[in-house]
Amino acid sequence: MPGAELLEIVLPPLAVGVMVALVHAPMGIEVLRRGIVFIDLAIAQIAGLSVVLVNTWRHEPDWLTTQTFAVAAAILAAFLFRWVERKLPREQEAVIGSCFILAASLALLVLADHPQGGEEIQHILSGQILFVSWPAFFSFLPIYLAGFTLWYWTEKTRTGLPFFLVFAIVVTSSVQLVGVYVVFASLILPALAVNRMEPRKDWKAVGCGVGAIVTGVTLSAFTDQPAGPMIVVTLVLTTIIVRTFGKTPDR
Amino acid sequence: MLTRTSVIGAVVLAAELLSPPPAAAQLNVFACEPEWAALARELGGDRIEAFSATGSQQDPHHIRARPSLIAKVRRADLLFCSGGGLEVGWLPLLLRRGGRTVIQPGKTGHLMAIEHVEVLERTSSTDRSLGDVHPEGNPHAHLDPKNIVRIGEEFTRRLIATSPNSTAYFTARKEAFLKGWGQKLNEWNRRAQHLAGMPVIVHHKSWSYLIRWLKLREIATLEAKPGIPPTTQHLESLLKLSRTTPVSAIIVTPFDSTKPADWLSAKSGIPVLTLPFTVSRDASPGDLAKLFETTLTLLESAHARR
Repeated sequence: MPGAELLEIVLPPLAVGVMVALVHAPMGIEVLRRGIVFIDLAIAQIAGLSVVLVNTWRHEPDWLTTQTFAVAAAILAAFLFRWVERKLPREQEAVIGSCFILAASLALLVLADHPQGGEEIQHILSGQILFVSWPAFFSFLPIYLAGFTLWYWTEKTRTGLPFFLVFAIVVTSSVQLVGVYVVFASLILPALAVNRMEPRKDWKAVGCGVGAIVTGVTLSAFTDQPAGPMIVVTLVLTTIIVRTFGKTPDR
Repeated sequence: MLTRTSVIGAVVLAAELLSPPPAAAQLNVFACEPEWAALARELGGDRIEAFSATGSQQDPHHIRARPSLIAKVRRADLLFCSGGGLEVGWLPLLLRRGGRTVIQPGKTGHLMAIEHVEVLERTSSTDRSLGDVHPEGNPHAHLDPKNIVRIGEEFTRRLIATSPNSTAYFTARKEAFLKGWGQKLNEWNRRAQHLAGMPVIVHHKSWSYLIRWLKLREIATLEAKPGIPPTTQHLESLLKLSRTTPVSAIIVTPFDSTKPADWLSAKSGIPVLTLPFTVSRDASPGDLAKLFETTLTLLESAHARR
């Protein structure tokens, strides 16, 4: 493949990957601290379920309708999980995990008779980062800019209901852009990599996330493999390398 | 003594001899399925370079994006696909991502095979409770050799429209291909007479055009609704049906799940027959005819066994 063409193929997914990593890495630290790593899967699956329901109810809804329903469901899930956090703090991970499998199973039941809805949820869940084009990047950019700004502007975003709301909206967008596997990996793995590397943990996590995603997209281009799974692999390798060779603070 | 110009001339000549012919002279054909890449190679000869997005073991309903796929779309002069919603899960995304104008819908470079044949199973209903029904009709049109003729003629028209300089070349290739195909078709039609009425069960509605051409009798499909994995209840009802109705074979493609067919076969004794369905991704000229030969031979042996 000639260089210029390769760049044009790889640049939109790279831009999306970097955008996602910048916002996910600090959020991942918070998710890991709270011990609720399944929350992204649960929110993605609940958003996916609502898209499936819209699809079975209306034939080929437009982009805006789909987004509205996905985000509305994600916000409902945010309220639910905030409530669970207050009422059942010690069992919240169990409840979140159960919500994930319940939403997944309900989607399967609804889809048992609706195969094209199946394609829809496949898109929501597996995402095809290589198919992401510049228009898609720019239509999702405001959400990430807002998420990023809120996160660093006020500490309040990292606690209580605001955390769940910002997180739900960001994850719903990310899942459509890069798929649920990359969402999970880009949230949890950078946080895991730098978990014992105070201070400025969040910037180190951003570095790990961005580095791994750029490496993953580049490797995908040179080996001609799907980009999503490749990014998951490079994120895991980055985490192992950082945990093995990274400097841990003196005890 | 060698002059400077002659040295340069010799170098240029050597470079010309060593390097392949300039790529610009060849039309790039992006086919969604291997059968269309094979047909493109038959008709385009060495003036085209055909690429198939899917292989013979792959279900063309679903594929994953690879960087090279986008690169191929960006360079394509002609897009050659089945259409009818078969590639709806990925082709629109790929076309948008590739951004190549000449192969977008409505352009000469955008050829959808089923738009040029008599379409089977067309329905006005978009009720999805009926399964993965393509409202445009059944898209698996290549397994009727008469369709190959019609689609091939249309493809040649598109080739000529894209590259008028090669009109004579493409016309000659088309005539040679159609002549050979016509002779084979007569032979196949003669063999097909013995297969008429052969009762079969199919996994998915992949075989409707073949069944119509050969006048086979489709007793049932394993999938109660297209694209949805067979349910236990439906399989039980097929088992009951097979006790009263003779069935010669359960026909599946290489990429269908074999579990439902194997289950029914084990309980009923009806053999499972895996037909090739299509050619290999890098099929060479002649392979398309071999696909029909092999299909007929396999059906004949299954027919003889019962």
